[in-house]
Amino acid sequence: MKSGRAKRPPKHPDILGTVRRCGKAGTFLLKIHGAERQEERLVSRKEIEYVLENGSWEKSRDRYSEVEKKWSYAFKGRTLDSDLIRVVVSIEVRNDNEKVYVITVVVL
Amino acid sequence: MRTEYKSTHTDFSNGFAVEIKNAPLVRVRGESYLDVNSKVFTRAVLLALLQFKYRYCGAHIKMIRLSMGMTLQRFADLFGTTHGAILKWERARMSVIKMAWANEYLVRNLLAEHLIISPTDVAELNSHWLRGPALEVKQNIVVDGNILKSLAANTISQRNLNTESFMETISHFSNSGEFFSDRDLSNNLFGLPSGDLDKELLSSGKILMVNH
Repeated sequence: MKSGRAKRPPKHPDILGTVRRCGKAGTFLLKIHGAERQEERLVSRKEIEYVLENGSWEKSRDRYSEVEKKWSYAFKGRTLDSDLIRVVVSIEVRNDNEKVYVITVVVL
Repeated sequence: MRTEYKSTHTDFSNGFAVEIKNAPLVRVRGESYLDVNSKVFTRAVLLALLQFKYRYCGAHIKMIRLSMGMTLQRFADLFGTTHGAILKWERARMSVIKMAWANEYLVRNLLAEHLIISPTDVAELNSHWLRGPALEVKQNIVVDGNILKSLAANTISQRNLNTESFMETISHFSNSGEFFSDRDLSNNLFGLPSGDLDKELLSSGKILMVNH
């Protein structure tokens, strides 16, 4: 019997493009944890939107959740007030409909 | 994944409480999220803020500034003050700030211009605001979920003004003294309808502003 962890699914083929598109169109949802952290860390919805639209993808901070069987992707960028923040998102595709879920927000 | 409607949902993502009546929520893996386009939601909240009868809090000012895509310094320049002063307002968060009446009047007019509401309607709104009761009372912003649907159905992209040209316009009209006198300012300057849908919504009272 073959041991070891199960094979992970591949990452989304166009992570940066999808996140920027969703940031620009405003089609992202705040997960409960994300909304709580955002409120706690005083980061507004507009700032998240700005970073998704203009931030850069931190490839090395991408994580795979064995529980949810999904990849999460980290984006880092400066807000209009020059605060450096990281936004962790996951991408869900259903019936050609892409949605970005904001998992958490960190002020760096 | 299915959408359900909740009679009241309170959202804090803008830094202050916004009560959404008949809120569309999407249920994914046992968790419910507010299923609304962020741009549409922002616009609905800004419209609600425009009709808000009470004094603005720091969080309101921050949201308005960020929605107009302005840095602290650029926003401060409009008031002839420093970015530190604006930061002080914004850090008051949910407390009513001791902002001069004239400054708040300017913020409201800038917001109206950003949303392309005609100056006549702005004057009307401001007159209500100035006569409003209990101006120091802190109240929640309330948005009707049906408004979100209406705004989403409308093309909102054409209404998003380029901030650069907007600021040039403001300074031009402020200097010439015509800023509040031209009834069809939006039409003349931007070739855009002066927020027909928004005017309709404002006049019909479908955007509820405060809990009494």
